[in-house]
Parts: sequence; structure tokens; C-alpha cells
Amino acid sequence: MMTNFEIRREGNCVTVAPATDVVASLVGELRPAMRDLVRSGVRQMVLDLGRAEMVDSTGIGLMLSAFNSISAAGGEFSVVGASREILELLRTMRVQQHFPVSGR
Amino acid sequence: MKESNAVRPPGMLLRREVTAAFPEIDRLCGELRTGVLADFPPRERFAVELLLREALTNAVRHGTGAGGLVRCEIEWIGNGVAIRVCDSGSGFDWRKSEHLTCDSRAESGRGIQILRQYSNALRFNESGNSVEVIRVISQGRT
Repeated sequence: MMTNFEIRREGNCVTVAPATDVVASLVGELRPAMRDLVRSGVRQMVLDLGRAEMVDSTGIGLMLSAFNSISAAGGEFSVVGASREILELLRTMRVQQHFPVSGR
Repeated sequence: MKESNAVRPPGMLLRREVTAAFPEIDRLCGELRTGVLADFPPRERFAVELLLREALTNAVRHGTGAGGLVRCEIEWIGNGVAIRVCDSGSGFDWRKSEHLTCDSRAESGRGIQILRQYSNALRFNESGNSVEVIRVISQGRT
């Protein structure tokens, strides 16, 4: 089945790379996949936003959900590849106080 | 050549009725990016789309229900845009959300917060099924 995201594994780290915007329509598909990764023992997860032009409140909720479950299990979550506008949104919503966020 | 926002006369940029479904929001926003918002500075294009998305998402989640219709419009008001979203549902109690401060680790509840942060004015009607969002557009900021 075609998915709108790619999962890359490198050592202990798993990178989840959406092929499109991280918004309400994608989160329904992305959330169970990320939850399954945490349940399978992944403790280092990177969300790569390199191909996303937009993140909405549902997408931010997904990031916090991933961070909450991984940090509760003693792991680490981070976001990379954010556009300038997405970085500003994440800064405004104060999510960077919980996990690292970097730009393109 | 496209008209720049600096000289654009006030007028309707978009008026549409869409089905209350997330893929419809994506389709409309994709159309906006390459259409009426294409000549906005990137920061403003992002902000206007984000405001429209949050208002529409709110209508889908709390408004008319799946398959219902949501009316939306974007009007250029001379120095910015007025985004209006209205659905036929019973609305929601926006007054409660006025005093909410979202826990920074909470996994939901940021839609209204984003509407407030990215707008210059935010008005709901009495029943909460219609919202108007005003954003002044900064011409020089990219």
C-alpha cells in the first residue's frame, strides 16, 4: 500500500519522513505508524519535515504525542528539516522547550 | 502580471462551499497556494493558510459533521485579509476556550490558540458556528 511517509532506520535511530504536509488529513495515517514504532522498542525518533510546507495544530499534537510516549520510555524525539515558517510556528507554540527542532 | 497586495483594491479573493472533510481542506489550501495567495510574502501565505486550515478544521471537528457543508471566504480588506468560515452545525462554546491556557505538553487544544496568535482580530458569532479572522498583511516581511 502506498503511504505518504517513509521510515528510515539507521542504527538505533528511526527517521519518519512525511512526503507532504503534517496536517489533520495525514495525522490519522502517521499516528498509528509512529505509535507502533514506539511499541516495537524504538527509543530514538526523528521527524524529518524536509518535504512539509505546512504543519497545523493536529500536526503539533502528533509531535507532542510522540515526544510524550518516547520520553516516558526513556527515549529521545526530535524534529529536523523545518521551513522558516514552521520553525516560527513551533517556537510560537513553545514546543521547542520539550524537544530539539532544527531547520533546513 | 499579478496585482501586488500594496495596490490590490478591497474585494473578495475566494468564496467557496466545501464538504466537511480533511482532504477537502487540503485540496482548497493547495489551490490557494498556487492561486490567490501565490504573490503574498511566504510568511503571510503560510499564516493565511494556517488560519484558514484551523478555522475549517474546527468546523469539521465541532461543527456540521462528516459530509456536511462548510462555507468559507477570504476577502482582501485593503491592508490584510478577513477569513470567514461558517457551518450549519450547532457550534461550540468558544467562551470556554477564551480562558484556557494550553499545557505545553498537551496533545490537543491548540487550534484556537493558533487562531489567536496568528490573527489581529478573532470573532465568533453567538452560537459558535461562524468565525471571522482578521490578519493584517506585512508587506515588507518575508
